[in-house]
Amino acid sequence: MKSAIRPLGIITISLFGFLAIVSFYTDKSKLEYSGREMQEKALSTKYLLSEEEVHGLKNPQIVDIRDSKNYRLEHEDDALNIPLSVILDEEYKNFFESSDPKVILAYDPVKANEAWMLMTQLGYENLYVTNIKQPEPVEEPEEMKERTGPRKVISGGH
Amino acid sequence: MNARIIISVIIMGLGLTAAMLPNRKNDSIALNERELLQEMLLETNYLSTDEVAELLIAGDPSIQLIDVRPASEFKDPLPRAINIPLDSIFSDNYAFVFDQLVVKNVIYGSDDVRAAQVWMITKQKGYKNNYLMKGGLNAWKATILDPKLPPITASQSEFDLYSKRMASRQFFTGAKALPQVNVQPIVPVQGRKKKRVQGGCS
Amino acid sequence: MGPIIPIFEIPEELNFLVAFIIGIGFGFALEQAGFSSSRKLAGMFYGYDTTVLKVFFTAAIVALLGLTFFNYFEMIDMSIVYINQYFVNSAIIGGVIMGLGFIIGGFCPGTSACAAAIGKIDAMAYLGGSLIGIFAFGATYDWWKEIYMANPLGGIKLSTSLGLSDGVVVFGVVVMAVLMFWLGEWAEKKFRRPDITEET
Repeated sequence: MKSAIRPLGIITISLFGFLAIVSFYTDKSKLEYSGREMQEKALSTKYLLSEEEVHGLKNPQIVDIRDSKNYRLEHEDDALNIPLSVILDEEYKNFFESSDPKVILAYDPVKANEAWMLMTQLGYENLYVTNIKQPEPVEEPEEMKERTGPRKVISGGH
Repeated sequence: MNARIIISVIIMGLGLTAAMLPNRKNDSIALNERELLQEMLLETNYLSTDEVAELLIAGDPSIQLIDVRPASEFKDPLPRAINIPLDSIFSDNYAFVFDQLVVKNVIYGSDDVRAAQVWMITKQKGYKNNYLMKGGLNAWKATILDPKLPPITASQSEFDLYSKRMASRQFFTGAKALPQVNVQPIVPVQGRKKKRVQGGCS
Repeated sequence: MGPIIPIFEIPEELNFLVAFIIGIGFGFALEQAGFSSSRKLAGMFYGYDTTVLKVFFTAAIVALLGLTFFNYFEMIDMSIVYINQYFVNSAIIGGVIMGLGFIIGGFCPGTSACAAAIGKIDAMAYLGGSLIGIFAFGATYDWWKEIYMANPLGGIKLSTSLGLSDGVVVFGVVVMAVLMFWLGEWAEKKFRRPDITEET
């Protein structure tokens, strides 16, 4: 049976080699902080800023994370558009690595906070989130509010 | 004899190396950053206040509401909600709340900030069955407990939503039913049909 | 990252197929080590043939060192690898019964399947006996249930129960294995039975 050992050994080693190579090239995670460390960071960092505090920052860069369609419809002046779906791409890596403070606008507070958590967990620093000044809701004029009874439908005919 | 000594030395060497290795805890179910981004963009991970109201009224037993406000601020929670502040999500009492496959956890806070943080942490660790209620208690008050009457020019579906929210309000606060809003949509005016002239010269 | 085959996420038929293929590999390894001969197996108890010790300890330390290194290089996640549940009473009683059966019959359950596959009649008798035992255990399960399930310790590792770190236990087992190999060599010289070992 000794002659059977060599091919068996070759098969075993090639299987292990395959496993080793495959696990070497898989999508390794680049997250710097673990879940517990993020919990610490989230509790201790005060990253929500008001508008005055944003003006107090040195050289802040405003970031708009909505998709490009909404950005083109209307955006704040000097806000840079980085849609959330492409925030991890190569072209924005240098932007996030720079030491200038970056402020994310919170049109959708859920997405803005999540974006902060994601980028902070990757190790980028100097990130903040600020609330968008919502336009004042339009007050309904008084006479409209009384029209709650059944309304007659105006129709044509006889 | 020689071969045996060589093999023994090699194996002891490997054993010694293995003894020096640090005990690495691998986390194969945790998500990497791209998978996490995909989950963030997936709309099915979020629930609106109307959907949560519907589930609560139907008495759905498969959801568990989790309130992430600090313990000192935990007043007037949603029905059957448990309080797990952000600083105790990894404590032993709550070890089996986030990492299980039985109930769906719906996370909410007073606004979206703390809830988004808790959701991100549990999602990145690879725990399934965690969802987020958008808007938190502020949105709950604005939509369910005190819904605004849509303007007259709104569509029928907005009025239906408003009626539904008023009914939910009645369910959750026991308020008396307000008079029915019976607004019918504005139909364009039809012109008068011309009547045929009768009589007269034929 | 491994493990490649998560047992809770694949269908049961695929699970059995994988087990079948692994079983073929196991049978091959046993057969080419010569374990279908009951003389080699009984020789472990009388001391004149320590092949069993060497083969099984080699398998154990290869797997041990492999998993430790793979865990370090993030190729497998040891925290989700299944560890057999340890019931203290059942393990002791079962060990005694199996030892007795081994020395009386000259086979253990796995090697009896190997030997029966090459046509040995006594191995087939052994296999039949073990099946009768399994059937009898199943039929009278109610009598043994408390003893069987007593004292569960869960999926416990040696390092946890001794309070040492994993690395120290790995080194300890490796040293013990190498010492046992040398001890086995010495025992073979001391307890030699040329009338048995020189037979082909």
